[in-house]
Amino acid sequence: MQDNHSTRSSSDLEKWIDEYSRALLDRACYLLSDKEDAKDVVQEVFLAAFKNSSSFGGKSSPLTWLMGILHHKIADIYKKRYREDSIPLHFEQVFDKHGEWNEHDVLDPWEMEEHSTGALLNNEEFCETLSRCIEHLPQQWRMLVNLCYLQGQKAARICEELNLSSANYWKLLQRSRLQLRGCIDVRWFKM
Amino acid sequence: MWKDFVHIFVLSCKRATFLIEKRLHAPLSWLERQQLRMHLSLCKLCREYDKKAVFLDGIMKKTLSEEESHSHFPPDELREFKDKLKDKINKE
Repeated sequence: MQDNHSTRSSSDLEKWIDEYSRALLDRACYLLSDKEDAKDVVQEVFLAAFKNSSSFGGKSSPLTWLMGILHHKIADIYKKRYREDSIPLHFEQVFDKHGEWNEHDVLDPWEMEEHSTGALLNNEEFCETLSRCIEHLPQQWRMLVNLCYLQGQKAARICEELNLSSANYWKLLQRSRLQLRGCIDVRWFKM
Repeated sequence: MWKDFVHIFVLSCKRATFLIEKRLHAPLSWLERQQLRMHLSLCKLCREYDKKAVFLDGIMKKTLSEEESHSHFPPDELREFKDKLKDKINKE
């Protein structure tokens, strides 16, 4: 009887692997910004699902259940990586010791009228430039930026999952945005 | 010295850009709103940064939430991943 049960659940699991690997890998890759890390964590998700398949009650879809496990595992990874004092922000690259701008290139003119925003969004080259600039952020910053803009993620929940204070969360986003502003300026508006 | 003194009343640009960021994600307190307003009325650089930060936020809201729909895993890589994983599970 026990044997029957485990063969059935392992073939179920193979079906889940076929069906849901892609969605889980994409979500993990988006949140971790690293393909190899994503593969590792999704593998762990399936192994955990395999060991605990009895706790899947069938109330939600298997994908929802697996995504839940994935988010828990990613939250653990984040917690390890975001010990509050361990994130270098290098504000001195942007502001002097009085907290004033080192450079005045923030004044460079950008076309930001509404019609040009729409046009930029449809401009593949611009979107490419933006994602290149995001890729250039240090990984810890980039993960948080991605998490912040993932639909439906609310700040309070993100901070709780990461064990990060709100002030530090905003500081990290502030630093990332300062860098993105500079990057987009140089790579797009000044070209 | 003079600057340190000024920053007691009007924020530093570093602090002002922090509030600009915070405002994109959460409501500011009454005091923070007044401090930021005061700073922006005096500082052209931060006024410009403010516009650009809001602009980038708007663009990122639209592009990054769609980012996930582009798969980073080509079919070959996906197949290899699945096969390895199935092997592993069958051995456990």
